[in-house]
This record gives sequence, structure tokens and C-alpha cells, in this order.
Amino acid sequence: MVELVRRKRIDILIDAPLCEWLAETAAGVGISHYTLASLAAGMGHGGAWRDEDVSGAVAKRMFIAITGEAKVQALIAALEPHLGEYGLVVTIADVDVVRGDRF
Amino acid sequence: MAEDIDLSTIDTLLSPVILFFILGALAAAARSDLSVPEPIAKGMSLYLMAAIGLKGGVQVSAAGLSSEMAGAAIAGMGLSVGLPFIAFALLRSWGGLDRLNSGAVAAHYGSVSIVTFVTASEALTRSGAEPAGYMVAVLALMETPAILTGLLLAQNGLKQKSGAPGGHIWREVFLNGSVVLLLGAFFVGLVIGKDKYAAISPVFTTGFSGILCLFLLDMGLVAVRRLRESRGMTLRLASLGIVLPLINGSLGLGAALLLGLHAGTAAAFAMLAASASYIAVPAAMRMALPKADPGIYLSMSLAVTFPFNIIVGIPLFAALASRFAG
Repeated sequence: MVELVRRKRIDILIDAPLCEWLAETAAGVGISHYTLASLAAGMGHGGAWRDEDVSGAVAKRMFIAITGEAKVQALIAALEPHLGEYGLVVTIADVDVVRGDRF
Repeated sequence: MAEDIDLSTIDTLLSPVILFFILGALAAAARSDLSVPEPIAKGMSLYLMAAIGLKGGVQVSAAGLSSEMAGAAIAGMGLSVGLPFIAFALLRSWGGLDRLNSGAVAAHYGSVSIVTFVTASEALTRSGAEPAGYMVAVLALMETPAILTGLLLAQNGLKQKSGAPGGHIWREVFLNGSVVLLLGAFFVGLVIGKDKYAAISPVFTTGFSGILCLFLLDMGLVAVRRLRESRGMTLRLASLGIVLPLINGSLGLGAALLLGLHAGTAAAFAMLAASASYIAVPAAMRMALPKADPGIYLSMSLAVTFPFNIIVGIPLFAALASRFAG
């Protein structure tokens, strides 16, 4: 039977122009593996947004990483001063992963 | 004697490019599900920027560098620095915006819209008054200074919180894809010249107007959807979205006349001043002034000023340039 290992998954909804900054911030706390997902459209506190908007300024991406709890806490601490002003939506969940040594 | 530009409002409205823009706007207003897939819209945008950059470079390679070009470049950068001050004052007094949002919006009105320029160039060329090729370089130079003015006016200055995306903002400002492609294609055109351009002109010249039609169809869709979804927009701000291009365009035309530019180039210069950015500046503002409301600056530049310039501004400033430019 395949062994499952408990890890944390962190999802961060972020403006597209800020993705590189987020990836560098995550790398700074040791989270160097991640996935960025494009999102079609939505409505938040700041109003409606859609990916096809020509400016790209209000397009959103979902940053997804799976890692240990300590690194997740370190990332949240690094992002904490910017959570409000950049409107980041952060969710964390427990996940069971195969090949746990890779996360 | 002034050069005559045959470009009436009716003529502009009945051009295929503008009719496609109106089609997109009407489809979005009627809540049609018509949409241009985002990768296709991006591809068309890349094509248009490469085409206009190449064309400008080839023209400059034929005409050579001139003092007129240097004058237009300096005047363009001066306008980009200065125009946000006018916008800022009007946004604070008449628009009722706070300092932060006024600074963010003002940056958009000092910077330029590449699509407005491309559409104006197409219309002017069609009417026999093709703008000088160096205007592409002027466009690229006008993109950035307004961002700095806008940030300073917003009183955020160039300060950033520790850990904020400071370096990324400057990368976005100076190396955003539009400017890199536009200037890059301009230099390619400058190097290859007219003879070597002939081999690739079927792609970049023949297809240009058709692709521009499809791109403006998408712009019509985006503009009206943006207007419908904007929440911070007021009637006063909408009125400024029309008044500001008239003021800025008039100043641009005045500068062009002082420089002695010919009618087609003067009209294009006025349109650069009249236009408002909705690609490079919004992304920079989102990073530098995250608390400024993108619903305001995007709606004003994209949903009010862009359509106004396309439908009214281009024929208006073409007519004025035709009347006054030598």
C-alpha cells in the first residue's frame, strides 16, 4: 500500500501582476515548488474581475503550494503586512500526499 | 498652406475598424455571450505592436534621424510628466477623489494608449496623412514618466513597505511586454530597412487592418463590460473621462504645432496626449498603490476615454491638425 504523508496545502488568490513577487517571497521562506493557476472571473470586495480584461491588472491567479507546516507559517508571517492592501485571500488545508519526501 | 486630412466623424464611424468596436460594445451592452478568447486577444495585441513598431522603424530607416524627431521625443516626455498634474487637480476638485485615487488615475492620463495610437495611425494613413515613423518611439517614451508623477502625486512617492514588490514595479514600468515589443520591433525595422521589410510585409501590412478590426471587437466588449461592472464610477468622473482627453489632446496639438510637425504627425501626437493608458499603468498601480481602486482608473481610461477617443477624438484632432498644422 502507498504510504500517505500529512502536509499543508496553501492556496493564495492574488492579482496577476503580483505573482512573481509572491513566488520570490515564498522562495525566501523555502517554498520553491508551486503551481500558478489562471482563473476565469469572479467578484470580490474590490468588485468584479475577469481574466480576459485587456489590462491584466485585475486578473487573478491562484498560487498553490504543498509543504510542511513550519514553511507555511513562515510564508504567512512574511505576507502578513501585505494581506490587506494586496487583497490576498489565503486558505490552508491539511492534505495527505504520496511521495511525502518531495514536499 | 495647411495639409488637408479627409477624415470626418461620419467617415470614422463607418470605417470597418470602428464598426467592429461598436459591434463589440453593443454585444456586451446586450449581454451577449460573444467573447474573444484571451490567448487570441493577446496574440492579436502582440501582432499589432510588432507591426506598428516595424513600420515605424522602417520609415525612420528611410527618412533618417532628425531634429524634429528629437523635439517630438522631448515634448512627449514633457507632456507625460506634466499632464498628470492637470488631471490630478481636476480629479481632486471636480471629481471628488481622495489623493491616493487621484494620483493613480492621473498617472493613466499622462501615459498613453497603444491601441488608440494604432487606431489613429490606421485612420490617418487611410486618409492620406500617415504619421511619421518616429512617433512609435515617442509613444514608448511617453509610457513611463507619468507613472512616476502619479506615484509622487499620490504621496506614496517611491516609498514601499519592507518586503513589498518594489523591484517588480520598476520591471513592470520599464520592461513591460508592450514597450519591449514595440521598441524591439522598431529597432528591427530600423535595422532591416525597406528592402528587407518587403519580404515580411504581406504578414505585417496586408493583414494589419483586418486584425485591428478583430482586436477592436474585443476592446468594445471589454470596455462596456468594464463600465457595467464598475462600482466607484460617478457622473463627475465619467465627465472627466471626456474632458481630460480634450484638454490633454489640445495641449498635445499645441506642442505639435510649436514643433512644426506636419498634419498627420501632429494629429497622432495630439492623440497620444489625449489617450489614457490601460495596460502598463494599471499593472504598475496595482503593485505600487494597491489601495487605489482599479474600478475607478480602469473604468475611466478603458470604458470612457478610450471609446471617446476612438469615436470622437481621432476625427476631432485630425480636423484640428488639418486646419492648423503646416
